Amino acid sequence: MTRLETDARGTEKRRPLSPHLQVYRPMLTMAMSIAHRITGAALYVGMLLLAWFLVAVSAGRGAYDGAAYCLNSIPGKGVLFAFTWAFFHHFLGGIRHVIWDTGHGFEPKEREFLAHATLYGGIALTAAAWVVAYLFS
Amino acid sequence: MRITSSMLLVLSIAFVAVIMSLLGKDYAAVRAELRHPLPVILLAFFILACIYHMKLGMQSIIDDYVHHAHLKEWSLIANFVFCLSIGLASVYALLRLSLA
Repeated sequence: MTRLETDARGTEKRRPLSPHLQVYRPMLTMAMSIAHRITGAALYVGMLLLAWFLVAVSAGRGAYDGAAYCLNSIPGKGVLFAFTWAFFHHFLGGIRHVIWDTGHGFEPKEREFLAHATLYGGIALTAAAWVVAYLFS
Repeated sequence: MRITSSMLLVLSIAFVAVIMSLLGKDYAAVRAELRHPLPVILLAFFILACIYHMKLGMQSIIDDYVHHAHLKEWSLIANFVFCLSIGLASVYALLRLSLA
């Protein structure tokens, strides 16, 4: 289902339109698809953190101490925790898409399995990363 | 998008490994770690693949949700500038660290 649309240069762009969401039974696979996009957008903004951290390290001890103070604070840790989860969730979602690109994993059971694996795998990897972080610091 | 996402599957693992190697280290140790070529090259590779992936991903979000022609044009420009800035700032910092 496509709709004709032109951009500012007058070039035609065909983008798939979403099916009517109202006729869909809420399904985990659908929620995971939406979550993939939301975590992607969150990571897009979250990359500011990595750039900020690297610039702070390179700028000197004062800037590094400031960044470390912010990231070690409770809100800072909260943001980092959210970033970690979004990262692993999106990472596993990406693996799911690569599997789909090979033409596998489209059976209903397989789709459900991949959705569950993405959801619980993301949570498990996030927990594991923070346990390791606490053991090392 | 598919090329960058496949690359990022591998580079993300490298990214996690580099970040893990920085955990619990003080300022001097973090700097020392980021003077080695391997973590710096892996981080730079990861970040470059990331910003290209980010640009493409945000572009499809804009294509899907922004229908006003001018707003769309400006959104695409802002997307490009944002991703480029993240990339330049990060790579600049990495070069400065590793060449210091």
